[in-house]
Amino acid sequence: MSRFTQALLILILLWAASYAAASLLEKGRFGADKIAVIPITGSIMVGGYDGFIAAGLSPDTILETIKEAEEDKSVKGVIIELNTGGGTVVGSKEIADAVKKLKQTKPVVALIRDIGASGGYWIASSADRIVADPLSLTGSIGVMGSFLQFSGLFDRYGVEYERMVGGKYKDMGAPFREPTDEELALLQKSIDKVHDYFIKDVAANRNLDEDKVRKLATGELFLGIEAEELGLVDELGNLGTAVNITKGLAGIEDASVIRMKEHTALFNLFSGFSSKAAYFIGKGIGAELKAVDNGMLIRA
Amino acid sequence: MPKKVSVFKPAEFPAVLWKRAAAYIIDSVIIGLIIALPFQDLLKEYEDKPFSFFFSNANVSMNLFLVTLVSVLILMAYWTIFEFKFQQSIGKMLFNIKVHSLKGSLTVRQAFLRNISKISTILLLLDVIYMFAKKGRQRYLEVISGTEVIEALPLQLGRI
Repeated sequence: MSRFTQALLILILLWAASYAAASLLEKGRFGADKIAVIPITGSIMVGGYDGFIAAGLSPDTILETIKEAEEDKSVKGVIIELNTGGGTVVGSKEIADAVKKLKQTKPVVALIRDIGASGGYWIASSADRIVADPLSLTGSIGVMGSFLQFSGLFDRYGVEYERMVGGKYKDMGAPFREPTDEELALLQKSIDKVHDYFIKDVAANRNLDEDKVRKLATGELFLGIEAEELGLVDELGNLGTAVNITKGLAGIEDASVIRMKEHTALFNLFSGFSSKAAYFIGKGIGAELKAVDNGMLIRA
Repeated sequence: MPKKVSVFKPAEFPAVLWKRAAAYIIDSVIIGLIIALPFQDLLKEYEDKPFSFFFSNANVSMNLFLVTLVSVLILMAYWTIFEFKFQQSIGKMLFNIKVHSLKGSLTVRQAFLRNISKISTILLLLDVIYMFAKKGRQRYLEVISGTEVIEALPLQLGRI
């Protein structure tokens, strides 16, 4: 082995030793107390996709971050910083369940910024305490299963939908035809069950009477100040408030506040760009169709 | 044909001071990269803190102590391993100077001892001041360890 190779190997070994030591110290075996802030921003969608239209926040990335905070011994408390209007039922529930599991080992405080509604509120309700700005939007304890239905548009342009199914409910909710009353009733039954589950979970999480939560669960959005009066939020404030509450719950006087990095897959980064492009293309086509329909022809 | 004879033996030709200084700077940069880069994220959370913060909290003080300890160990490992194995650190290789033992082959103990002052700028300064004060070519720890830094290649002054 040449001298150069030997020297390079020694340098690499020294760097590896340094990196290992830094990783150990960072993992908090010997480190200062920390409060981890886990941001949840955007629509929550399992896989990060809602069809092909929009790329949202995959709960998998949040679950990984929560697990990291749970395993880090130097993290004494966690703040879940919410800026989300919710998303898919399963995605929101997965994160809410992870928060409930996390709070068994260390205190968790939810901080609602601009908006922490629907699935976002479900996640917040799973924490030990909720802090919101007086003008934050929260609540919206409800479920939405609305879908677009193009049968009228198809009729206008002479497009027909040839229905071929095995199982009468197989194409239930398909946007190409009008749903039957029976199908609407079935969909509504599922939505009601999910809504009921949501209500019961929030009531249990917040230690509120189920009937009271049911009355509030109209899907209405509340300002932070209103939510506090209704018992949906514990305290009005900001990140500083959340940090102080977390320190108090953790029984520590001083701590570094660190923002946990979101684990965003490279594919999701690209898909975010392409879905935004798709959105604007669709918007443009829609505007053109509307203009032609109105007897106008828009010229560039 | 006259014989080409080198007038000075390598062991008797000390390395010029500017080469030693330049070699030290290069080694310091390399060591800085090895130690500083992995600790970048860890130290980032402390960058806004006042000096007093580091002594206000037992956990922070312990963290700081451990970071310092690791840095010193890596630094000493660099100098000791390179100088024992190659008689040269990377900086010394670039300037063609090397460590020579006055007591036979260079040992690990000698390589370690001669570099202890490099863990602290103040210690190193005192070590170098000794060299100037004695008008010699060895730092204090080089005298203790029985080593010196010389030119790596013999100098041929012509033909005799």
